[in-house]
Amino acid sequence: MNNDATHDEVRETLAAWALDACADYEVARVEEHLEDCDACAEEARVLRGAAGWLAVAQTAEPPAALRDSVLAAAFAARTPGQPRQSPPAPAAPGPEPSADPFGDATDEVGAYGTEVAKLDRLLTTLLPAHWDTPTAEGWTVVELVAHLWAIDGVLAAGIVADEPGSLGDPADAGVDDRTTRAQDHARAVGAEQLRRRWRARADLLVATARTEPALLAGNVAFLGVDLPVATVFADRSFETWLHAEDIRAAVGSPSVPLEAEEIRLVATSAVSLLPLALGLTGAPARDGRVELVLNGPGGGVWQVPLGGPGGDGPAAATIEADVMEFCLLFGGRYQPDTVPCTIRGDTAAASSVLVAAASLARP
Amino acid sequence: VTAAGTDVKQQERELHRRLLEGDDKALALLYDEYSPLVFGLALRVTQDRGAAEEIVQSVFIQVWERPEVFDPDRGTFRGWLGTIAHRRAVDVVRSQRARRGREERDFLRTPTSSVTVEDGAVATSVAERVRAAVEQLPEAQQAAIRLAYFEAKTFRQVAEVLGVPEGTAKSRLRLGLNRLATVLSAEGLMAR
Repeated sequence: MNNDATHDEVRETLAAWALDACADYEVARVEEHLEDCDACAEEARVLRGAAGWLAVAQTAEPPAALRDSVLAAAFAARTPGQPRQSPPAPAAPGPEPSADPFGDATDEVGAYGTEVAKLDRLLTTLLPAHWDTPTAEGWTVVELVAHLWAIDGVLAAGIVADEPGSLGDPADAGVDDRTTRAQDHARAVGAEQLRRRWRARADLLVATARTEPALLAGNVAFLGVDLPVATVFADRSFETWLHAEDIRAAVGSPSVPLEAEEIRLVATSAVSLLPLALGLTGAPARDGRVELVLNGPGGGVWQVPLGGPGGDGPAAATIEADVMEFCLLFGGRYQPDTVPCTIRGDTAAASSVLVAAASLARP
Repeated sequence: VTAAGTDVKQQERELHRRLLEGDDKALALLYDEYSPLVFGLALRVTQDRGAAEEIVQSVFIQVWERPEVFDPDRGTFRGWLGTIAHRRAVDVVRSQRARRGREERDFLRTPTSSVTVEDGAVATSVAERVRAAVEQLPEAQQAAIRLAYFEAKTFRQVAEVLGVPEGTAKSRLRLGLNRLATVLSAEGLMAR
């Protein structure tokens, strides 16, 4: 690796490297050589030092408002008071351990904690102008975060006594009502305060579920229906991810797909709501069941009883779809007749399940 | 190294220690001291205020998240921040060029001579001395360095713009930058 030809070539290229005037593959070659060659490393240090001085003739004051947003974003990425080690510890083998105490998506609460941490990292990189960008949901970024915060508040009201962040919504308030109130509040306190309140409520929800695991086995009143607490956490993790994707699309960030384990948790919990949704959509009880064959990472096969006898018999119909597409139907991103799927058997029975799935969608 | 230089080194070690400890005021100090350098350089290279603001944000987040990669005994905060900011600015410009498509070949156009972003108030004596040092270089070396550093061109693009072989472009960069290092160390601005 450290032969004379490489050495001579790198030496000729060092100034271009110091000025960031090399292609990426050349940068890699130069930096590899610098690890082994003291003479080149010394010349590199001198040349980089000289190049660095070129910048001093180009100073310009950044806009004053940038200071607060940069410092806030930095302190969200690493909380003040958290020490760092010097010199750097050698890189440990294997994947980096997650810095997020809640970032383990092995259950519904973990999935929610993971999605919250991911969205928070995205939000802390936004510039002031990004917060007012409209999203596909029709709300701006700040209004969308207010909406998430409002609906998280329904779960908070159900499982946390005297939640400090509560805006005092009546127990029977609907999604629109709660969202409007939260958005008004966001306008009053500003985006950064809203982000902190949303994050504080999410952390409190996770901490509550972790300290009182018995809660997860119980039910909670959630927007007019009684649902298992674990199911509501799955709902919150999916909605948090979905709106994070809306924000990414609005500000031009690349999409971050859900992990297979999370898709599985979301699909399982949404499918578990289908019998209830069938009743609420007024589908007539039918004999037998519909089989859902959901393909792709996190997918699987689920059975949906149709309310009549014969739930253990042969399936009246089979719906085959991509698991992510089916989750997006639950999330309101498809209509029952637009979700890409293949139906075999009794079309009416299958359609009633698709209509029930779409009925679970909210903004 | 002069007595004043030792003093500065000591201050930088102290500031670095505070960053490692997670002292939020240390980051605010660093921001106040160096954000004009980072913003000015990013703006000069990208010619885009929005991109320059994003670079300021990402540079200071990186410094706060991983202060341990900096060694105050081997470099200065100014050099470190300038290096990170320049690299990011170059990445932004190159990815914009890549998006605009190869056929446009914008790098073959003669560079518009610099939208100068310098705002007078900070035209310190150090900046004057650096500018004077650059102006002492032969024209051909100055041109090569400006194209590479401020126009984010690779040495191949520098060669094309100047109409010289790649080897010539590389050696102009090398001779010029080495000469600049010599002048700057004679000025007491850097150790050789």
